[in-house]
Amino acid sequence: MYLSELALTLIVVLALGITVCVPLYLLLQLCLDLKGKRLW
Amino acid sequence: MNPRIIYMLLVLLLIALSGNSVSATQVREGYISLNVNNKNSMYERLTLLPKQHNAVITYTYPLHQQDLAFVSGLPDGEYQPVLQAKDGSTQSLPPFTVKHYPLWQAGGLFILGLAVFVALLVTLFNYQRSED
Amino acid sequence: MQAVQIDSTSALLILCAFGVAWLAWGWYLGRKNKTLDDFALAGRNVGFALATATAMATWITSNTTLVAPQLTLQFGVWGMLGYSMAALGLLLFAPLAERIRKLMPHGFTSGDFILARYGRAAWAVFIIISLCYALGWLVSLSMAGGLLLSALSDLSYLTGMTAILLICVGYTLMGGLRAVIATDFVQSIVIIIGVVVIAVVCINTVSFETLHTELSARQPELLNLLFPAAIMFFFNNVFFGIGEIFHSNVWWSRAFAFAPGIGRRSYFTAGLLWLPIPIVTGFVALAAVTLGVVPPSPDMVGPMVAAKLLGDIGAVFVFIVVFSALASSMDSLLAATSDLLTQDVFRKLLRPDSDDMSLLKASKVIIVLLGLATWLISLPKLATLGALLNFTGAFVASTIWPIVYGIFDRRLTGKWAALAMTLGTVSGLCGYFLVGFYVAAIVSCSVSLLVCRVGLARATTLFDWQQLQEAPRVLK
Repeated sequence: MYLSELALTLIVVLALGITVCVPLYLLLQLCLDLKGKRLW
Repeated sequence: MNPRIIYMLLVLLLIALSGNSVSATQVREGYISLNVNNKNSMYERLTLLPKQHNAVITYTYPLHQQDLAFVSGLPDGEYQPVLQAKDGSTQSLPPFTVKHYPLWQAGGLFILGLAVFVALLVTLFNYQRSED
Repeated sequence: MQAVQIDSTSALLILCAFGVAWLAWGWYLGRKNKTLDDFALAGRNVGFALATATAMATWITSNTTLVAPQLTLQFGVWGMLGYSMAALGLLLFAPLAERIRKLMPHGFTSGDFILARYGRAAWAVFIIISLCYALGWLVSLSMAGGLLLSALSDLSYLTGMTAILLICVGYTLMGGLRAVIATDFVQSIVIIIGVVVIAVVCINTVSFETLHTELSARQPELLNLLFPAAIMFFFNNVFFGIGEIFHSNVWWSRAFAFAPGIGRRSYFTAGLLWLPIPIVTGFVALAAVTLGVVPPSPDMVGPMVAAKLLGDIGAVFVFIVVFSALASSMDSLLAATSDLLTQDVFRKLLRPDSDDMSLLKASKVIIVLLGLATWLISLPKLATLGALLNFTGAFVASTIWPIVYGIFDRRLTGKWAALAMTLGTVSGLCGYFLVGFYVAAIVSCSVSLLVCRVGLARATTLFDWQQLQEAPRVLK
């Protein structure tokens, strides 16, 4: 049972898509914390 | 989870792991580090020739200036590694055999892992619920 | 090794720039640190954004940038997916983090908890496991720094290893956990942008079609979903990751440092955000042979493929990304291990009557000594990174159940917890030597569970949670 090209593509593209959003999400949360004065 | 089930799985595991006497050139994971001794870039290609009769597939890998070459993803079989120089001359390295673990042994360990993992999930979930 | 890409002057320049920038920032953040709580736990009030980023960045280590490609090269698709399952450690720690802070509002380390909950015998076993693991991880990180530098530039293994240790010891010393958490945030952004760029270039250079065809022809087992050793590896890596996080003071000290109510949410989010990253970093190893890269050892495949893909500028780029990844873990590990040594060895065993100021001083001396010890052990390049780290799998996986039951169940006693950790570790090591590194954690965790269940079944006394409220106490 071998992984098909389509499945490999899907796994990698999905992972890449989520990863791209991570820094944006973190920066957004940082702004919210800064604004709410609860950074640390 | 019932301790008895875990105990049975452990016994199964022990049986699965016994009798795995592996000789020095037998590879159980399909990967091997070969001593190609190519510091002076004499060779440009590494070829793995399956020693089986009527084998048509050979595996070739490019070589650069390096002492070791790590090759992976090989299926079961006996392999004869051959180094090919730029001038066409060749040199053989010691042969090796790839013999993957039987699927039932790997599967047994996978099921043991799954069982313990599910036990962990259920335990954490139950404690969490009772705490809330 | 393939063609060297960065000349030694540029490499040294990058190192110095990094060193100066991070040291200055560490000093800036640390200038207001007055108490031990400030230095060791960043004032116990870290907010959500920084909490999530630090948990994620610390978990992105040599694991994700060097070892994820290594395991993909060894075990193919299963290796890649198995690695991303280490996120389960962060996800499952989320409920624990919340409860730890509630149970022990004054706690500093995981050792404090084990001592108060299980007593001396279990505490001794736990401290040995913790220190073996912490030192193993530290050494593997500094070795990775050395390997990386020697692969991507003219500089030697020794120079790279020494440089990363010096920089991390420096800013951790000056800024404490605050500096660690703040640099982690920046480092996590740098790392993610870096790995995304490398992955995109990889897909552009080698299409999925070529990749799949080449793999089928030259490394068919990497695509095999029934690859036996890889199937064995899968859950092993899950338990290894969970064990690492559940026991290590790196994660406990963060649980104590995060503001009330932040722990559960931030660990859970960090786990979800971390999940896809090993796939992004690991899959490039599948393109190695297609790109003509046959690494001398499996742990070099990641940087070699990336440098091949991006050329000269790429080498600099990879250098910065992996260096950030290593530093973000090493600083956390230095800080957390020095806490553990300060609180659990210095305070509990050597100087029970020390005040806050002498503990603060001790913790700084210990950071320096830890750096020195790591440097000495890293001098000879002992094992490949993955093998070295997985050796500790047997140790850490044995702690999972004693910790879970210790936090939630009043019935398990110290005797059984100590026995579970000891027998788990011993059997895990047997698995390591009899079969391979990819079974150590799974065997260890299973045996430990069995012992804990017997302990629970035979329980006659109940632990009083109130005892944890006053901890940490001092051994008399």
